[in-house]
Amino acid sequence: MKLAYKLLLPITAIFVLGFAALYTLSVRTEQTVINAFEQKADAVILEQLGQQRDQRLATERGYLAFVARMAAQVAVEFVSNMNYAGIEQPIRELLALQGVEAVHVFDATTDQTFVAAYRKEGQPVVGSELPPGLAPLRELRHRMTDRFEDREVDYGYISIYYNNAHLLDEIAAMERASLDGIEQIKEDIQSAMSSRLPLQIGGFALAALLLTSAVFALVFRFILQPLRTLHHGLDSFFAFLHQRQDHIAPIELASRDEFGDMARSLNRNIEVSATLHRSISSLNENLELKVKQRTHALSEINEKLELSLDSGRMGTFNWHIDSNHNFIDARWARMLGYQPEELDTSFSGWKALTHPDDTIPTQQRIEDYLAGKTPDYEAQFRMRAKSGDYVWILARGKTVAWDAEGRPQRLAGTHMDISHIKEVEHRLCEATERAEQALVKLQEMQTQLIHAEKMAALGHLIAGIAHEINTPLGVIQSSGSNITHALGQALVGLPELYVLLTADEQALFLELLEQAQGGQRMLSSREARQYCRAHTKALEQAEVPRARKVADMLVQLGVLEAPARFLPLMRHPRADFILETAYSLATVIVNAANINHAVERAGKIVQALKSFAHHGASGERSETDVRENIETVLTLYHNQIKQNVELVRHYAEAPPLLAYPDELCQVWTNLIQNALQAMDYCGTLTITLALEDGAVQVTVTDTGSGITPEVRERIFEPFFTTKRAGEGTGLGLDIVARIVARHQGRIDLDSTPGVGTTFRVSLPYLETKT
Amino acid sequence: MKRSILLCVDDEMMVLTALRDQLRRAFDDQHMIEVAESAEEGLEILDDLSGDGYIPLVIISDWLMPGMKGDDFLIEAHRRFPHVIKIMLSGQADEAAILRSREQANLHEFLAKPWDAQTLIASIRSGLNDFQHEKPTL
Repeated sequence: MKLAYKLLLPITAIFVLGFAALYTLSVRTEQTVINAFEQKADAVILEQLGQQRDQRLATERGYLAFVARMAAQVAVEFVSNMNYAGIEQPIRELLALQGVEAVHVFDATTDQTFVAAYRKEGQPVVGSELPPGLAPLRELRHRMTDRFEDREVDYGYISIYYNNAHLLDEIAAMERASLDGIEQIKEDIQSAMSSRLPLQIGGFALAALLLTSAVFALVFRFILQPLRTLHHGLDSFFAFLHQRQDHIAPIELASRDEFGDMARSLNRNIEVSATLHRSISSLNENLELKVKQRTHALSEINEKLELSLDSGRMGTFNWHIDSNHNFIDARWARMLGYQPEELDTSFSGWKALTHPDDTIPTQQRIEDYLAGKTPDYEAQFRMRAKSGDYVWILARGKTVAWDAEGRPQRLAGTHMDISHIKEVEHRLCEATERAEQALVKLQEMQTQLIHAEKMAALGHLIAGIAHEINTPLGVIQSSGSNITHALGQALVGLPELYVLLTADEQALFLELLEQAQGGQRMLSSREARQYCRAHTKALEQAEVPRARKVADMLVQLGVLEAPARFLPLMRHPRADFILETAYSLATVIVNAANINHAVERAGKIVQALKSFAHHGASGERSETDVRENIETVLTLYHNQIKQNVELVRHYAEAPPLLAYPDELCQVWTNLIQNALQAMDYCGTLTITLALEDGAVQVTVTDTGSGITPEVRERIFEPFFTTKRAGEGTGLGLDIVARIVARHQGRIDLDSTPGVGTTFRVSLPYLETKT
Repeated sequence: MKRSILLCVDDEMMVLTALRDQLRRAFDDQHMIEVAESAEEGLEILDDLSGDGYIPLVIISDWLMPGMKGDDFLIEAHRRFPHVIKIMLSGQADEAAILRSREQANLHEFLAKPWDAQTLIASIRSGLNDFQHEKPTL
């Protein structure tokens, strides 16, 4: 609210000053406009008055000209008739006209003035002469003419002297009146303006005030109030933090502006802080509770200690070496449950109560001390209490008297019952032993767990491996029976064949068999079909009957080039028999090779299985070819990979590594299995092996869905799995990480979601320990 | 002239070799034996040879192969040649695939590897027998 007071004055001042400035400016502008208007109006009015005056004068002139003409027409009658008396009346009338000062009629026929009249003191004087001083007046002269016998006769002229002074006066008076009127208007305007002034100032001031309050209201509503809410929120947040408040409400400010944003982020902050605060408080409480408990326990122990001292757990002895007499105090006796008088205080008495196993070492210690071999006498031994139980005694002592020759005379000190300490010690030993046993068991369990995980992976593989093994088994079985059959047929056929064939034909037959033996390369079915087609065409041209079957047989016999050379055999009347026999022989060869092939395959799988499932119980490192190790796993995964996965291997030469081969197998199994699952058994699996920085670097890369950062953080945690329940134990990568660590290696991964994942395992060559 | 075909499909050449000799021994005088190393190649052969006027009679197919699986192959073959007798010979096939083949490809029989020649041949003969007696196949 302080801000409100701070803001109120400046805002009001700004508006008042602003409006004052605005008002002054507007008044000024108005005055200037009015002045300009007045000047312009003056100019226009003056110009109009001038024009009016000119018009008036022109009208006057026209009027006078007309009067002069009319007068001339009237006068000519009188002049022509020489009627002097008659003219007097019109002349008088003429003189009566305003402004006419004098009239002069000149008769040209007589060359004399006909009549001259003028005004003297307002009265007309008619005579024949004009008074002087008429020159400044205006003279309007008109000729007097008349027609006489079709001829123009000039009778002279008439002059009218005219004074326009009255007219000018009249005009001037009129102009003055106009100008006076204008001046009056100007004055009216000025007075109107000045009378409006207070109203305007009042209006402006009011507007300024209204605006100020509107602006202030806006500022208050949208800035000050949110600020105050924020301030209260923060205050109570700090109060909460300083534990003056035990709960905290979020700031209630939901507006969609920066204050709202601020409130929301503060609320988030508050929420997090409150959670933190609560957990800290609960921790604190916990801690306080623990401290209390511990303090309590300690004080109990202390009490016990004091009690134990009081209850006679310690006694003193004072052994006189010469007399071999051992003085003991009452507490010593009570420690063993005796009364002092019940005890034999001689050295042999002590010996009688001491555990037979402890007498000799204790005596030895005493002798060592007395001989100066040890700085202190300290011994632990068991003594039989009255109850028959043995009590552990801690003895500490010093020589306290010597004889004249410096030989020790008396040994004094304390005997303390430390049975309870011994008990604790004993229990501790037992606990340690149990812990060690547990550790050993745990390690065994871990080994078993690792093995179990391996077996689980194997279980997953078994179905596929069954196929892998069943295929060669089926082949062996079938090929075996094929051989038996074919061999039977051949053996029956051969003797007959040799009788049947000429020497040339026999040679050709042997060549055919050689082809069968030589052509060990297994043709793909597509290649075989192409050869078969080509041969069929060739044999059809050579008109061999049943060309296609023969062609097929030839291809199976391994005759790929120039089948024509065997035409003599094919055209032989017993061609079928000959070819069948040859084919039987070839069948034996081909199927035998087939069996070898199958056995090799099955053997490889069995070998891989054996080395995979081998329990590494020996726990010994051995020289391991990492490449072979990986290949073993790949063999087991062969049928899962071959379907839709392209397998790319880049192996560098690497010397054997001292490692646990079975465990490494498990690493590759897990990584390969994960890679295959990640790309749903469809994509490219790249395995590289390289030698870098004295370590074998193996990478397993898939083109799968990749790993999100969240999963990546937890991926090596035990029991963490993204697979469906029952599909994975969640132990795979945990075990992989353990195994890699057991080899002092490192494992990490790169993953781009949507592109794939690379696991990188680095196994260092370790210094061989001798 | 033989105009009918028995087709074996397996991704293992050694299986095909063994099968071919086995079938030749049993059916050489009656049918031609063709082999293919993949389902795709199998379909190609069926199309080619049926175009040349041969009649495919029996298909013996593995299930687990790179590319098209046995069940898909048999279903496709069934679509093109519904009369053909289809036998699956595999060391591993999941139940769903076999069921699918039975339902959608009218699978005649499923035989597991390692297989017994006599059982295989008996199965083919029984299929051919049904076919020759023109029993409805579906």
